[in-house]
Amino acid sequence: MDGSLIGEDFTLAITASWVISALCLGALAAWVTARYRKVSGKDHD
Amino acid sequence: MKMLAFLANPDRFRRLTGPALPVAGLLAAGLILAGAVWALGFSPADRVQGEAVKIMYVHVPAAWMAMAAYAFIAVASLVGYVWRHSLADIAAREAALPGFVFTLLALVTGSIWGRITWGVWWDWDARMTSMLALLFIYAGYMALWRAIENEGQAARAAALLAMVGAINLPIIKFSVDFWETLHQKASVIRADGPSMPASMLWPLAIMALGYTALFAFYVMLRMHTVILEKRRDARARPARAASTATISHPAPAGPDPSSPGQGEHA
Repeated sequence: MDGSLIGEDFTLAITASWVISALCLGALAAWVTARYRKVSGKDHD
Repeated sequence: MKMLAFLANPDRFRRLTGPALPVAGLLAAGLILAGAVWALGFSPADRVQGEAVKIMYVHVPAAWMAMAAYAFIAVASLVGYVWRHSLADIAAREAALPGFVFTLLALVTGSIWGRITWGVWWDWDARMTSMLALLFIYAGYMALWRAIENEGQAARAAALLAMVGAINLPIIKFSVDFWETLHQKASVIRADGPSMPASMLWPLAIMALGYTALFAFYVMLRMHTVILEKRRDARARPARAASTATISHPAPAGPDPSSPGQGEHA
């Protein structure tokens, strides 16, 4: 690493990392929940 | 052994893990939210890389879970292979997609972090290359399950791949020690203990626990779903068999029983 990075603005990189993580994990959670609801709903028919 | 046999019954498994599902989900949401607030709002900047260290709180837990999920798959595969435990095979299969996602996130967030601190999006050093290999192993594992139609044969083939692929886990872990790498050496799980201050270690630990609870939620919910799907398919089979019998013994008069709308469709 060349020198200190103190004081530099990394807002875009930090935001991108957190948003990508939230979107991917959230999408997976939504998908597994939707699949469960679909099959458990039919199971009660 | 008795515990394995005890959990082999799908209905018993559902009864035991049913209450744990919402707990895991709420725990995951709560821990990740708390960890995010602490990491982004109250944890200090690094003395060298400044605020860029905030990426650590999503990158490191993702990398840990990428490896932990694979270890879970390898152990479940061993149990399924040796003791023919069908739920263990299902657990291994359903852990693959979350593991793949965690690995992808570790690579993507690591790439972003590397760009701003090292000046490069990627380097073929031992750590990054072995993590990329892990991503390919996950993809190959999921593809193998889908490629073989017979579920029992698919389970055995996939289990063998999973167990052999587990050799990559110590390679990933010790890659920064065995080889000269761009990736930094371990700063948490070390023989001398963590080299990270508590103000960073605590939010990192909370995020890691949140990711672990999330993985547990994913896998348990998928297992519940698969068990219900199998039960639904098993109930549908006698109904299909009855309608097939009607077609093979047509009535002497009346409309053609083999016309569309009657009996089993492919």
